[in-house]
Amino acid sequence: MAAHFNLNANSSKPSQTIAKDQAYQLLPAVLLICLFVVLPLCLIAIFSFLKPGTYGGVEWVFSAGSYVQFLFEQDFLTENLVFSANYLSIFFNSFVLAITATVLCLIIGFPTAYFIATRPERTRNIWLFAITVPYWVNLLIRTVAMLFIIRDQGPINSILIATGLISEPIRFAYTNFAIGLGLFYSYLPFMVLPIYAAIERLDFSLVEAAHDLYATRRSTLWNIIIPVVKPGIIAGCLLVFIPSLGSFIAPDILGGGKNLMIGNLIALQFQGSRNWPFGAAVAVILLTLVLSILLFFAMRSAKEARK
Amino acid sequence: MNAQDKMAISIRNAAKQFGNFIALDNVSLDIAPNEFFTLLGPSGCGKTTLLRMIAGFETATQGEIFLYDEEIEKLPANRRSVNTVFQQYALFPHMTVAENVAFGMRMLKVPKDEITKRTSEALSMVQLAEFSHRRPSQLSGGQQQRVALARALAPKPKVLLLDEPLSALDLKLRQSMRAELKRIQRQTGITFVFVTHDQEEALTMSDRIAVMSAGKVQQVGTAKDIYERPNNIFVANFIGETNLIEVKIESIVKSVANCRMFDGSLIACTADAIAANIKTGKISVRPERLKLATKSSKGIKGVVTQSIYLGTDTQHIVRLGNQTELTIRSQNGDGPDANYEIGQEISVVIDPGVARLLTE
Ligand SMILES: Nc1ncnc2c1ncn2[C@@H]1O[C@H](COP(=O)(O)OP(=O)(O)OP(=O)(O)O)[C@@H](O)[C@H]1O
Ligand SMILES: [Mg+2]
Repeated sequence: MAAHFNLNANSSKPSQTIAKDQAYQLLPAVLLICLFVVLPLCLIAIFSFLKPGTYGGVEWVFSAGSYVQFLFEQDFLTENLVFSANYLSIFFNSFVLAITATVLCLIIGFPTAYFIATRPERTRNIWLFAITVPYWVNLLIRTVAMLFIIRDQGPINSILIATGLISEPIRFAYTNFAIGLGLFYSYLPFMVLPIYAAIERLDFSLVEAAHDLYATRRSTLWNIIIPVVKPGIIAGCLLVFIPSLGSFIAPDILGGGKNLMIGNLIALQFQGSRNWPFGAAVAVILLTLVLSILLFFAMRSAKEARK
Repeated sequence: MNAQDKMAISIRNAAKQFGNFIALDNVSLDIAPNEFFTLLGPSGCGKTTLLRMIAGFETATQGEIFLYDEEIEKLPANRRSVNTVFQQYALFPHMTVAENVAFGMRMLKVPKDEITKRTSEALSMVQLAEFSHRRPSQLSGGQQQRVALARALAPKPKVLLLDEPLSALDLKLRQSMRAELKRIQRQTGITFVFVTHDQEEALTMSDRIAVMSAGKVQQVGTAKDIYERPNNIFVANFIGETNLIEVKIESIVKSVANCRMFDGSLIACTADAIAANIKTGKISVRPERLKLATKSSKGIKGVVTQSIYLGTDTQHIVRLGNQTELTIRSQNGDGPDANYEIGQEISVVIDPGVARLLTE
């Protein structure tokens, strides 16, 4: 899988074996990962198969109930299980929002990355710096600021009303649109940076060669530039899509808590509803989906490399 | 060459400046159809710049470029029927060899089956038919070079531009590629404009050569022209080896100049392009055209300072009275060995007509 996050399009294959002394260098990282990634993941997986405690926490009794709860509702009267798409629709909504944010980031991020990568070397770093400056402010604050800008009494609506273009404020805040915008804004640099890195490494004599061989600018973009920087584009899309899918700040603030995303659903189980096993089960389902997506891309690019 | 014939490439007073730096200075050139034309010159003289201007990657600061009488200076690169073989090949890494070769035709919207046909033709012309499904990264440098050549030839351009295409290859490969390039040029009948700073490459391959230096074209002619009748001291020095001796010009009549040497003797030499008011110059004589004779013979007196046996030749270095050093190369034959010892006083004989009067 490592190959996908490798931003260098032309990197040579890593050597297959790791020497013994190099293994020692890896030890601290391996210990940290075991302690803070593998262990919590195992706990979550275990929790998802337990019964919820009355006041949060878990009861150490095996139960697949959380997974059943994900797809079925218990009828109050008959106590029969009835299929319910409530949680599925939250998943669906989250995927739609995450994909929208990814596509928006790609549409805006690619030209931005291209622009920066084709500046003279001296000014490139200034542009990169400019891209990252807003991200020095805490995500929560940025998201709240965005809410202020797009809400009914915010500057956008005020200006539109003042100029007479509209008479009633347009409802931006607390919509799916607002969440998508928030996600897009939160993760844009994760799209720009890997694509920038790939374009910066692009050999521009390839572009000249394409023009020389009668390609217009447009067909050079589609036939040469995009395929060559594709690893950077895939990396950027994954880096935006995956955190967007699990995001909970943007939907919480910009969606006003009405339009739940998976992240909110999980957070809710550990805070308000105090159903830890269900929260864990949702997290496991999300993780499985994300891993399948990654695996799909990994296998596809491995196939391409073998061609 | 008839003046009425259409030139494949005609460059009129082209100049190129980068900021204040003049990379090309008022260059005019005519390149005939089917010609193997070489731009030869030292590093930094503007060869690549000129080639890139013909290809359309660089706009001229002034001047015009014609392709078969059509003014192309304002056309973008993708609308000029001119293809380039890049020095670093610039093969598309994500495409197979065949896809690389087909690219130009695909962009020209050539019908599919014709693309397939011409792709395999181009690949067999460069003897790479069996590699068509490989990626460029799976080929050797020489093979990549030939893919670049096939890719540029396949769309049948009117002119093919080659920027030092052989410089990344090792000597053996370079020599065999020279012959192959020549064969392909003859076979396809496409006009080649070839850039090199290697004079041997230029002399052996070209129909005509333009010698360039410091952004200017110094001389255009066949290999024989520029070797035997160089226009100026730069060309004489750059192409092959030569001996230069300062002289005073006494008179020039019908391109024969009478010149006085430092020892007072008079010598008649050819002079094509010398302005009448010029009073001093240098005569140029190739090392193999000079002869050595015993001290008592008629000639310029000097002392042998070096004698090197080179197999087919022996090379002597002779210091003249005014400290000028001359290089003299004489063939080793069956006859009496022309071997002079170091320190020996001798005469250097310049036969009539072998010296050429030149100015800067
Ligand atoms: N983009 C540019 N900006 C400024 N100067 C340039 C640029 N391109 C070329 N030059 C200058 O123009 C001159 C000619 O360059 P060019 O590349 O044409 O030389 P060349 O004859 O091809 O040399 P070589 O044999 O080393 O390839 C050089 O002095 C170079 O420094
Ligand atoms: Mg060059």
